[in-house]
Amino acid sequence: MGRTIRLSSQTRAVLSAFLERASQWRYGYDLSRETDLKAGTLYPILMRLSDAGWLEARWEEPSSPGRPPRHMYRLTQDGRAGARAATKDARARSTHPVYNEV
Amino acid sequence: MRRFFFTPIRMKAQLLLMRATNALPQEQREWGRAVISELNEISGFWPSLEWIAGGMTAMSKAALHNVLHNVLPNILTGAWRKQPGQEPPYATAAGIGFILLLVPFYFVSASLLNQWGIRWFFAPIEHWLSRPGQAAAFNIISPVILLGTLLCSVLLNLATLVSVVREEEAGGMVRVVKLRVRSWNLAAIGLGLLLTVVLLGYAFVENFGTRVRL
Repeated sequence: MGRTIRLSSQTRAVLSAFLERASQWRYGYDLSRETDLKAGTLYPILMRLSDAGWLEARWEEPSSPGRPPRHMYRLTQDGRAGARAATKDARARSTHPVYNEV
Repeated sequence: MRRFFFTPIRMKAQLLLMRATNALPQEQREWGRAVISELNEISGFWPSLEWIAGGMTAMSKAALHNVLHNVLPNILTGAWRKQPGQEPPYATAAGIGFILLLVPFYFVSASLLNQWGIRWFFAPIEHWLSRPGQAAAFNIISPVILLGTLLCSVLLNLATLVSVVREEEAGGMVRVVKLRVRSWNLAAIGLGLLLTVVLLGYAFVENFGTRVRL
């Protein structure tokens, strides 16, 4: 809880996807399709966000018998605030680019 | 209703993968199962395979990170001994020990088979040795890697089996050496020592041959 998060472009993409439907529970595969990230990239990000307390996760009750439950994720209050700040920061940077190289 | 494919092969693969997640550290098993359960939403062989490969890569990385940052320091520093009632990490030590033994085992087996005329396994090493610069590098690096991995494997498993504790006896404190018997750890130590003897024996014969002086 409260761990700092490395905000890569992929992490920002995941956070943006969460923010679009901030109150809804989301599935891994749906997030993967929305962000165009592979499972190998997406799940480490979800794990980091969860460890940092930005995400809550739970297992969905199976909708039909015999069907395995799915893992779902949602932003926490901290996560929403952090995600908004992160995406805002990214937008500001893209509007006012900083040129470090000549 | 989303695409939902419950083919027997897919179900068997999922069951196998679910079992494989038991090899992951406790805190990562849930994530491993989460990746696998999403398979039901994916149609097509290649997308499913890509999803499994990606998920398993992520879990393997997390497991490796856990081994390097938690399990190994825990064994090597003996931190587990300080926790009351804590069992030594036998299985982890044996697993890491056998992984460490893979390289020397391959080298020794390939060399022995080569002596007996089966050259297929030794061919990659021979190919490497055929270039002068690489042969020199091999002579320097190989003893470090081979003996280093053997030593690490033996010490790692010895660290879990042997412990020295202070106990009260006849009114005074005495040091007691305790040896636990665990077959897989003993096997790792045994194989490590055997490979060390073979390697050192080979090095001795190769470098200290008898010279006849007239």
